[in-house]
Amino acid sequence: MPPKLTVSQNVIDRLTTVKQKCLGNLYGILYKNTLLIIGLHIHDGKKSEFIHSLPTEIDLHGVVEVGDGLINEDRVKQVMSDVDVTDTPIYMSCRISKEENSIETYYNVNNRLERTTYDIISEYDIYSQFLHIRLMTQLPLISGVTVEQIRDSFVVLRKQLTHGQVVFNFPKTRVYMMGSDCENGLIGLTGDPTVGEICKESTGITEGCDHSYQKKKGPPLDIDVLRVIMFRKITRDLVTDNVKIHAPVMHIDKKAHQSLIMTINIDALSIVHRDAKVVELYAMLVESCCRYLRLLEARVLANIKTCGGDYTKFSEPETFHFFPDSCGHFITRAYVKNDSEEELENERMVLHKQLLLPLYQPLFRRANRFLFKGDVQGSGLLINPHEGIKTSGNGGEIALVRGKYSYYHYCQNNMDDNGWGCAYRSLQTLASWFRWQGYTEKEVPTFKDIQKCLVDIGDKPSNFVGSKQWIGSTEVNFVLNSLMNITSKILYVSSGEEMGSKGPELINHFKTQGSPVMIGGGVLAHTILGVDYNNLTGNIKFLILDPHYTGSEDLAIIQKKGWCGWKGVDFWDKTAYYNMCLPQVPICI
Amino acid sequence: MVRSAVADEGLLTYMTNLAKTDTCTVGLILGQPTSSKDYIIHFAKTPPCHGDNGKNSNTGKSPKKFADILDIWVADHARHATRMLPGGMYVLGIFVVSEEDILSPFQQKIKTMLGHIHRRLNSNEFLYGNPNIPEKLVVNYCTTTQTYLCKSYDIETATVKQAEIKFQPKLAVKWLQVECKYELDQLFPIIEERGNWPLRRHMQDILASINENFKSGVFMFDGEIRDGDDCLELVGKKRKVPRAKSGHHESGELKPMQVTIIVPCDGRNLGQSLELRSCAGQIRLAGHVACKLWLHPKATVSDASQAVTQDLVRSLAARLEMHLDSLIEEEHGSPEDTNSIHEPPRRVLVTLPNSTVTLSDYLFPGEGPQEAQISLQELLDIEVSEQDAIKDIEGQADLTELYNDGLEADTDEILHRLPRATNRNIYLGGLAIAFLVLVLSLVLHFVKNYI
Repeated sequence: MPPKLTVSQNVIDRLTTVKQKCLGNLYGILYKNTLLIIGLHIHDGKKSEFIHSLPTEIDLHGVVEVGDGLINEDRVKQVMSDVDVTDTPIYMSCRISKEENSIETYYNVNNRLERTTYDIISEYDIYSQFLHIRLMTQLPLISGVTVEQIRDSFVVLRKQLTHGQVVFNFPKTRVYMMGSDCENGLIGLTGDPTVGEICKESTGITEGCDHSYQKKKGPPLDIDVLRVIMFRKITRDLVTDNVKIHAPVMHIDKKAHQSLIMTINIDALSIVHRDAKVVELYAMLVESCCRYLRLLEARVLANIKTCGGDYTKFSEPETFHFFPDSCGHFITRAYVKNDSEEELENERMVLHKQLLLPLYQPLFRRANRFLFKGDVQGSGLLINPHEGIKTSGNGGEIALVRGKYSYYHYCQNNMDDNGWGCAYRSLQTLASWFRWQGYTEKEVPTFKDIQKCLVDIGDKPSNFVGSKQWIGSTEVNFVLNSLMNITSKILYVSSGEEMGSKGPELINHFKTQGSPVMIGGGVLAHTILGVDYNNLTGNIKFLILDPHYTGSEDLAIIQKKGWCGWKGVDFWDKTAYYNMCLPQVPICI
Repeated sequence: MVRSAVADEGLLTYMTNLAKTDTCTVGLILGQPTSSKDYIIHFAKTPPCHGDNGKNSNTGKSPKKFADILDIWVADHARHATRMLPGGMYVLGIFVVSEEDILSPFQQKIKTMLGHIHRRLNSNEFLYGNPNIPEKLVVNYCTTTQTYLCKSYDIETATVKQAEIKFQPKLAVKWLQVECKYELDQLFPIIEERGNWPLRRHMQDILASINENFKSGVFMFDGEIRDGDDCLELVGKKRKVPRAKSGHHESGELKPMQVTIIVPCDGRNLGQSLELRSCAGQIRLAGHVACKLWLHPKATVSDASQAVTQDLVRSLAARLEMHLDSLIEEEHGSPEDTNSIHEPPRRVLVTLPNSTVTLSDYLFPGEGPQEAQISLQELLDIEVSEQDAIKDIEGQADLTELYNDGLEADTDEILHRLPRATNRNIYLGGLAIAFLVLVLSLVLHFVKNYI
């Protein structure tokens, strides 16, 4: 009996809109006789190593073909031959049509295609059933410098992981997962608990984890991530036959050679059903570590090949986890430090196409990496303080800023700009948004950068640098343009009351651009993060981020005291004029 | 608080038996110190100084007076004896059998001698020669009065304190046994700048990194993780769920506790995350160190963890010292030794007479129990008659296998065994015999086929 089939909404959404013939792999998780297809990768028949980018437990379960919907069984069987985790691979046929493509699914049972039905499952439902485990550890790699030597060293490293000498631990607890010996391989836990159970219990396992106890009803979605670290057993309890035992000997080789000495920072993800037993995690964690090493190895080898013998060009590999909204699952990418985003553009383009993702916005630049709770943020500033604020109750159409920004406000980094720096701070918030979305790698400009820029372009006299003079929307526009190459639209209103009529334009901005808006003019400067526009009543509410806040980075105060919150039209000064700077988003990946 | 020590009555007999007119005998007190009392396991007479024809006029003869004893000689004995002690056991002090009463007044000579011992034991930190307490015991058996007296001397503050020793008939300490097998397989690159370091320095460097590694270790006793100040005795007890295999309190004799050590994988020894280095070579250290030790009944889990660490590091340090001392020439001088296998001596366990506690000895390749018997006699004054009292627990490496590994890595190199001052002939003899046997069997094989 082939398992029950469910397909992620994200996979369906992407497949129903694709208009080109293509062939790809389907990746899924099998749990309790239900197969969940969660990801796809278009490879058009080429060899695909994409699996190493996916969390462990997601495996290749079938193929998808987008075309005229005609099935050539022999060809189908041939392309399905790579699927080795199951006897009943899935075949998904997607017929291109003018409207939505139609999708049919088949299991290959005993070499015959059998039509099957499928349920569509939302991202929210997937992650209420599954959670992620993030293994973070370090492994030393000492190797020669040739491609063969490095490859061999990676093989050795992976082999060592499978010898049962590694031990996993939930940090700051005494729960250890051992490879063998002691009864069920678990130390510090009694019984045979499931992953879901240990998350609920007050075992301290969830401390410092990306975990939310109170499941909110419906989206927004929280992705639960359990952290695990690794230990190495340096004693041996049971002497197995294949291990030859002898007193320590030293092999000293005094041949001069070049050596690659590397600390590999493992950061590997797995996905696991909440009903899975904790004892099952051991094998999964070993596999996730191996999968990570394969991903890294490919990048290291590619890098050493491009160096062409000049080892000074050799650069450290680094990995990032991405969670593009339209994918609905993690994708881990390995880059090397020296590769600029520009150099990686072609690679990203290929990936966007392989994953059927939009080609107008960056998704796999380093800045787009998924931010796990507890990951150290360099700046220490709050990110997206508006999240979790109650809606305005205006009952209209809501359009908000898309993606991440940092909250810049008065008196940060020991600088007393109280009374004059609000527009600078709002500009910084805007700049941070472009940085977070990967549109620029430039640092968020400092006050000095901003002032110097305005002097350089001739907008201000040279004594402006170091002064405490205000800037307005036009200056914000100039600076974004000259420092980050971002153009902006300027909207003008002659009085605060007139802001009430800007609903449609702002809705449109947030829907198409999604960038935060700076507003200034006769009086104070603010950042607009979104609008709630009711076109029946004509009422409008603005989601405001106030740069005049002088306190510490305390989210509770900021939300409670309305430093970030919904405001009505009366928020704006009736007697003052306003300029809004609406940054336009470039098209790129 | 008065320092107190307990010992079996047998040791008093041993001491009194050493009493002879006109001689003075010095020896080492071996045992385990605790905050409340010291458990003495053995007295070991310092062998007579068959020194070089130098300052000592008494060469060959037993010294008459305590003042005649060479401090350095006793200190050296202490170092050799320490190598043979399991973790948690130390040279606690000295005993002196003499005509004169040397403790009242406390002779200056004792202070200098203990000072020598202390410094000698500290000279290689990885031997863990000195316990954390600065006091050393001195037991004096005065043959004139036929009485014994005990004092302690604080090395740090140079003060003499009261101390007592009790010799109990049939002293039965309920030692807790702890054992494990430590597995080593590590590659240490020799970076170019250190290419001309002597081997000894590389070894100290490697020991330091191994020693450091233990500090972050998590120790499990019979698969349990406990608080450091929990009593070791509690391990295996007070379990809520009775387990099927919790059977080690059955028949009086305590089963040894198995220690599992795990260390976090965080590569802290490696520094930067990516380096390309020119290396002058590399050292691969591979094999097992067997550890078996005894702890007094009140020992805590952290006492035990420390003792295990000390045992393993001490054992490695001891065998490396012995190996380096035995090398004929400083190895880095000879250019043909580009690729060589070093075999430090292996650990064997020796059961003490009248005790469950075992001490260690180290045997070079090719050496057998006979050699252990000799060194035990000399250094610890123990007669081990039955060969089964000496347990070869680690085993010798199969060199042909290592040889092949080496060849695989480096086909055009020839592995050089290092000539050693001691036992060289025995070993070569062994090889020759093995070769002869091979040839003979081949010959026989062919002969058989022809007939």
